[in-house]
This record gives sequence, C-alpha cells and structure tokens, in this order.
Amino acid sequence: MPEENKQPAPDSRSRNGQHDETWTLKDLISFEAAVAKDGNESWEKLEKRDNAIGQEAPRDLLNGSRNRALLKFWLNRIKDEDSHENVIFDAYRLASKLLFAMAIFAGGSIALELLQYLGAKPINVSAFFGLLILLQATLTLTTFGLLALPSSKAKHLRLSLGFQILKPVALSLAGMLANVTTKGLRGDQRESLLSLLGKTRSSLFLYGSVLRWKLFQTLQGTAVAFNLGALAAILLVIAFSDKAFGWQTTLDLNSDAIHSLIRFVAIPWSWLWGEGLGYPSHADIEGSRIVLKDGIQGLSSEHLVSWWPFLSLGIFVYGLLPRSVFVLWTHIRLRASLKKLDFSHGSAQRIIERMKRPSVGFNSEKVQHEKHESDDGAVGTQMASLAPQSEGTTLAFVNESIWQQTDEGQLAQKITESLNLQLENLKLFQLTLEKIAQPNELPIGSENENALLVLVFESWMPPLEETKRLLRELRSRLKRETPIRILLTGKPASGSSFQKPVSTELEMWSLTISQLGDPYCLVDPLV
Amino acid sequence: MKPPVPTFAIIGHPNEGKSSVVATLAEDDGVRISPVPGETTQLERFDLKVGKERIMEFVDTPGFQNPSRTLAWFRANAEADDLVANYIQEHQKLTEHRHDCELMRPVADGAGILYVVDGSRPITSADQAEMEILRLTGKPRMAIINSKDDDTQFIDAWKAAFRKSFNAIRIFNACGASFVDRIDLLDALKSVDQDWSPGLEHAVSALRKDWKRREERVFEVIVDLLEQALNFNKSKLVSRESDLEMAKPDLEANYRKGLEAIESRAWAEIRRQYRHKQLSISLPDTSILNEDLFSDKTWQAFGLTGKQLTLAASAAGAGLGVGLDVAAGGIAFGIFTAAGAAVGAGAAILKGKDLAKLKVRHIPVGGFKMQIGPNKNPQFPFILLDRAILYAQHASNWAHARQNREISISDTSLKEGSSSSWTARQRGFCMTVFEAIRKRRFEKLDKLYPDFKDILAQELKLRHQD
Repeated sequence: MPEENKQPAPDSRSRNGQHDETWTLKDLISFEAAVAKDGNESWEKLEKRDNAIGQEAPRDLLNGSRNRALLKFWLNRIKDEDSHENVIFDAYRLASKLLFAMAIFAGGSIALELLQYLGAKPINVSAFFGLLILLQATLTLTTFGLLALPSSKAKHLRLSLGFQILKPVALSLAGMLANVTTKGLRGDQRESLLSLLGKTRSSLFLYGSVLRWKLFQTLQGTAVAFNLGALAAILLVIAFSDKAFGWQTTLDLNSDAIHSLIRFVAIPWSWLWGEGLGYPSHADIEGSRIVLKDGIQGLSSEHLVSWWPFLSLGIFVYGLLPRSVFVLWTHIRLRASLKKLDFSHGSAQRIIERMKRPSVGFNSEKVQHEKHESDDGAVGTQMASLAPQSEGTTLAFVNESIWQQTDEGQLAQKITESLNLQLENLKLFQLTLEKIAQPNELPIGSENENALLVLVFESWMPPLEETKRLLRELRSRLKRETPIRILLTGKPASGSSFQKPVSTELEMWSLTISQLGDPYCLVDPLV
Repeated sequence: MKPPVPTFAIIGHPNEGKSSVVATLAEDDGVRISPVPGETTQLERFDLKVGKERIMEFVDTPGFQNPSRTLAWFRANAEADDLVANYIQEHQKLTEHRHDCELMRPVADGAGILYVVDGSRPITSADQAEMEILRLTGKPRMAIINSKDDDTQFIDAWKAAFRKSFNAIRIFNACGASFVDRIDLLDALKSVDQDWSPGLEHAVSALRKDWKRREERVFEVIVDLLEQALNFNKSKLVSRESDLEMAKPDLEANYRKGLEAIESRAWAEIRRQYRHKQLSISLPDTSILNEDLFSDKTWQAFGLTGKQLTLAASAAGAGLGVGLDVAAGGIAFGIFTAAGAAVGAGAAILKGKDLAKLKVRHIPVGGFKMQIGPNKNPQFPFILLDRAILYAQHASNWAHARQNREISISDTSLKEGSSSSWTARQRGFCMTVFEAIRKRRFEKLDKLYPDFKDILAQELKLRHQD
C-alpha cells in the first residue's frame, strides 16, 4: 500500500484507556479468514507486513503478553489494508435472516393450518395444544435440563456405556466413509481433504465453545421466530374471524381430567389471569366437548371461544418466553466464550512472533555462543539475548542427518532467530532413528509440559506417517496447549548448510501436519 | 520353454520418482504421477508387452512411511526365516503400516527390487534406514539414481552409500531416458542375480526386435504418407462458369483438409507405435510443427533451399537419369527446371502459399470440372518427409514418464529440417523416389525403397544418439 494511502493506525485503546481486547464472532471469523489467506502469501511478505504492524503497535502492548489486545490491533490493521467485506460473516448473517423469516412463516402456516375452521364443527384444540404447547414445553424443559446439567455430568454422559459402544462404531464408519471417499481422488486432492478435516478439528478444539453457543443461539432465535409466527397467526385469526374451539377424544377421559390438565398447564399465568380468563373453566371445557353423535348444535358460543386465551398464553409462556430467555442466555455464554479465547495457538503465536521480531537487518548483530554437553546428552547453548518472546524452556529435537552435518552452535542460533526465543534455555537433542521409532525414549515428561517443543527436519523429505506418529506421541505426553513448532531447512547448497526451503515443500509439510488437527503444532522455515 | 517373466518392484521413499521410472520402463503414460507425495497408495502392476506377450512386469509401490520402526523390527527379527512375509503378517492390520506392508508384498512374492532415489538431494538417515531394510530382506536389488533436477553434487555420496548394500547401481533419468537407456538398465539387471538372466535375456532380445519392428513400421507409415499426399487431389463439378470463382475457396479448403487428415493419420500411427496414448504433439502457435503445410514459415524451415533443390535435381537428373517433370502439364503451380535462373524464379514463387494449382476443364456434356492437386512442387515431399521424421524422432524419444504431454519445439530450436543436412546425392535419390511415387512406378519403387529406408533409418538413429 502506498504510504500516502495509508490509514492512520487505529487507536488500540478504548475509552477507559485500556487496549481493546474485545473480540466478537465477526472479529474471530475475520481473523481466521486472514490467517487462511496468509497461507497463500510468501513468508517474506508476511514477515515484512507483520513486522511493520508490530512497529506501529504501542510499546506496552508489544512487550506485554496480552495476545488478545495485540492480535486485535493486528486484525484492525489488516482490515484497514484489506477492505474486502467479511464474506463468511455476511453470508452467515444473511442465512440467519432467511432462517428467521422462514421460521416465522412456518410458525404462522402451521398455526393457521391448525386453526382452520369451516363452520361444520369447532376447531379441535387437541392438535394445536399437543403440537404448539405440549411439544414445545417438553423441548424447552429438555433444553433447560441439558443447560442446567453440570459440565462434569455432561462429561460423564459422554463417557457412559452407550457412548463407549457407539464411539468405535461411529469412528469405524467414518473411517470407512473416508476410505471410500478418498479412494477415487488424486493424491493432492486426498491430502487436501484430509487437511480440511484436520483444520476443522483444530477449529472445533479452539473455538468449539464459541461455535456451540452460536449454533445454539441461532437455533433458539429460529424457535423464537417460529413462536412469533404462530402467536401472530392465532391473534390475527381471533381478531379478524369468528372461530369456535372445542375438544374431543376417543379415550375414556372426562372433562374433570381435562380441566386438571389445563389448570396445571396454566399455572405460570393463572396468578394473573385465572380460570375463565386465562384458561377455560370446568363449565367451558364441559361445554366445548364435541361428541360426534350429538353434533355441535348443543354447544354454546361462550364455551366455544373460551379456549383462545389459553392457547395464546400457552405459546407465549412455553414457546416464546423460554426461547427468548435462551437467546439472551446464550448471548451471555457466547460473550464469555469469546472472552476466554487466549490466542495461544500456533497460527496466532506466529503472527505475534512476526510482529515482535526485530526488523530486517538485525541478523548483523554479533552473537556469542558457547556449547556444553549436559548429562542427558543435550547440547546447551548460551547466546546473547535477542529480545526474546518466550522465557520458558525450549527443547529442540534435530533430525539425525541435519545434526550430523551442521554445527550445533549455528543450529541453535538459527532456531532462536527463527522463533525469537531466549537462548539460555534452549536445549538441543539429536533426533535419531531409534528415537523416532521409540518416541517414549525422548526426554519429555510432565516437567516439560510448559516447554516449547521444536523439531527440525529437512524440507525436501516429505513428512511420513512416522513423523505424524511422533507428533501424536509427543502431544500425548504434553499438555494439549503446549506449542510444537516444526522448523524446516532447505536442501543444502555448496557453502551453506542452512537454506530456505522451497515454498512448495513448506506447503506440503503444512498440508500434512494440518491433518493432525493440532492447532498448537505449526510448520515454519528455519531460515 | 520360455523363462519366467521377470518381475521388479519399484521401491523407495515417497516422491522420489518411482512411478516415473515405472512409466518409462513399462512404456505406459497412463501411470499416475504427481509432484505431491502419496499419489500411489496401493500396488499397481504394469506389464511390458511385445505384441501380446508379457515380457516383464513392474510393480509400482507406495513409499516407505515408517522406515525407522520397520528397520527396528527387521533388526530385532533378523534371524527369523521369511522376514518379509513375517513383517507383513505382523503389521498388515496396522493402519500406519499399510503402505510399508503394501510395498513389501511383491518382495515377499519374489520380485526383484529396484530402489529408486532422487539423486539431486542429499542422503538422510531415513534413506539409510530404507537401504538397510532392503539389505536385510536378502533379496537381489539394484539402486536407481533418478535425479529430479540437474544438481549432481550428491551423486557420488549416493553411489558410495549404495555400494554397501546394493548389487548394482544405475543412473537413470526416467523423464529423459531413451530406448537405449532402458535397454542398458535391463542389461545391467542381469548382473544383479543370475536367476534373472534368462528372463531378462529374453526380454531384452524381444524388446530389441520390437524396436526394429517399430522402425520398419514407421518407415512404412512415412512411405504411405508420401504416396497418399503426393497423389492427392480434390475435384468438384460446377454447372456454370460464373460459379467457378465462388467454388474455388471451398475446393481449396477441402484439399487442405484432406492433406492434413492424411498427415494426421500418419502421425497418429507413429504415436501408436511408440505407445503414447496421451501424448499430443500440439505445439505452441508459433512453432513450426503447428504451421500448416502452406505457411511461409513451413517453407522456410523445412524442405530444401533453392540451391539445395537445384543440386538435388542435378543429381537426380544427371546421376540417376531421371528428369524432372517441370511444369506437370500445367496442373502444378510449382515451376521448376534444372536451370539456375529458373530455379531462382521458382523458389521465389514457392515462398507463396499456393502449392497446387487449380485446373478447370470444360466437360463436353455441360458444366465444368474443377480440380486441385496433385501437388507437383519438388519442395512438397521434402517438407512432408522432414515433418514426419521430426514427429517420429520426438515420439520415439519422449519418455512415458514426462508429465507434459505436449511437445514444445520453439522456432529457434529448429532452423531447418533433416533433409537439408543430407548430401546432394541423397537428396537427388529422394527426388527419384518421389518422382516414382508420383508416377506410380511401383516396380521401380520396390527397388528404391531399401536405400530410401536406410536414409530414413539413419536419420532416426542419428537423432536417437543426439
């Protein structure tokens, strides 16, 4: 973007002087869309862009550890540079509006169908009551029950015997489906499909709670629209036409039982509108019973119209009201879920690294290092600090052939430069064939749960099944959020062991690693 | 009794060019090749056939996915009998080892191993693990260095590494290998295991015979092309004289189409002989082969120059006692005489697009007969010949592994056709052949064809060596 066209940097502070850390769903979608778009850009370009954004960011934000605020700043700058609308979010909003309109229409249509009155006999309230009140009340209670269930109970439910039986069946079916689906595909199509599945798993892990609440909110919003439609239909029908309501049953039920049921259902509003007003009285019920052999001549108009307030209030109390409460409730939960996002996953961290990395030209700084062999065979390297991002331990496992052909000091320097790490805490290990075959022999345990794990591989060697297995094994021994970074070095050229990987090789590795569905595992170039 | 059909499993790390090697060795451009690793997920068998006889079988395999663990298992069970079969039995139900088991299956069934590596990259520990696994199988094996690019700095290191665990090493560029390279590779395989020798001897001998047969067939196709094209004409009946002008463009277009069809049929047959199902020699618009026979560019690039043509005519006329049909009874447009001045004039005219002159005859019963062709231009057969030779050279040399199915010859890479490099005597002889074809002197042609074939065969062979 030409300098003269640049927008002024948005003020990252809110009114109270704090940095803007608010993330909306729209922001989140924009962020993920921007990250996905970055996947098609060159590393150099991204490095330059994010570095420039980092230069513009307030110092306290850049030097702090508030990922949310820093990334919001980044997102705002990206939005300034890319004026394209958030297509995904707009599509979602349009779909929601359409869904809402369709729900109103469906609710109104169903209510009108159930209120059809041809004059021959009164409208049977049983169907209306059963479908629009009783069924809705049951669904509302079930939803409420699920929401009220403590999370530990929900987990228990998942682990229940039934779930344990169903899970392997579902997984094997999914596996068979995947095999059948991918069999006819070309290699690149197959890899892309698996990558898409992996990325979906990643997203669900990171934003599962947000997506769950958003989906729930949409469903409840649709239900609200449905009830609005139904309620509007009944009120309009009552207002502009003369309807007669009655009830009938083949079962041996007398009016006492029906009255008890109606009174019970009307408890929520009976304190305001009592018998005869908010719900039919015993006499109304008795007087609106349709008996086929007797016809309707004997029924009185007063009894036949006594039902509509009950039906309307039933829809309002058991349909519209709870669904509206659920919408508000999910809105609060959605905001809470958005607030919990810490943006510690790989792609977010990479952006922060690029923003924080010293600008181009820094490499000329003279770096001192010394090597020492530790008891566990690791080579510790101490180097001058490079304004590090991470202060925790970094364990770097370097593939055997790279280890044998390069100088450990240089290797350590490249790793720390690449990830903007503190060097004092870097430990290098040789990743031998034996260790790949038996990853449990790697010196990783609960004491390294918070460490940054780095794996260095040759970019020109495609990642294998055993590479993925190694990563899965490492993940199983670490916390789910422990970052794992794969650094790739290109084919050595004469005079230098460290070369930039070819972009197609980087893409190939990224594609394969994304299939793991691990949002905390990323692929980067070593140099 | 025929020896058993030799079978070879093409094994290696993912994305090293195994499928490319298979495609070239089996002469099958239907083998799926991709720059993305993991294209091959199951065994695929490809027969090399001569006629209907299977003479060799190549098995394309998925790449190693667990070299470290597989090596660990092989080392731990090195003393066991039937190591490969045991490995498959123990691991076949593990999804992670699906590819490793798959690639071991043909080895367990007794196939020879051709281990393919990309020689343009350094050796890694995974490669060493794979070499060791294959050594532990105890099966006869050859290493094939198939360099994906021109980087040769690692070749010596590869060779040194292979010497420890392989019976033979061969550098083989799957995308650039000629017939000779393929035969050399198969010959080298004989030394890997004595048991393979009879089958390979038979295969190599059959392949050589088949190659010879293909060359014979290509010669027949070219001669057929010349016979059809040189005598090709198109005619049309027109009732009124005033319609003659209107009918002329259609007739010319039909004539042109007819010639193109004759040439296309010949080319398709040449392609078929060299087993190219997907290759299409459709060249960039600026390329000479895409120019039609009537374009200025074709005239300038193929055939002979005016001087060469004069010398050829002299040789044909004086040396062989055959005169040139100068004006072809007024039918052909090309005016040619042995006299230098006339040749100069003729050559100038030949640069134009007109090749065959339109002849109009009045039919006594009423109406007019329009006829275009046959083409009597002395340049014309040389152009056809040069184009056919060029086509055959490319079809025969195009490795089946090459993913670009369109041959691209830039104008700068080909300044002149093959015939321009022949001696005046050779050219003169060719003109005699063409003349005999035009005059349909078949007895004479039977005598001339052996020498004509030698000239063409020599040309094709020369280009092979290039």
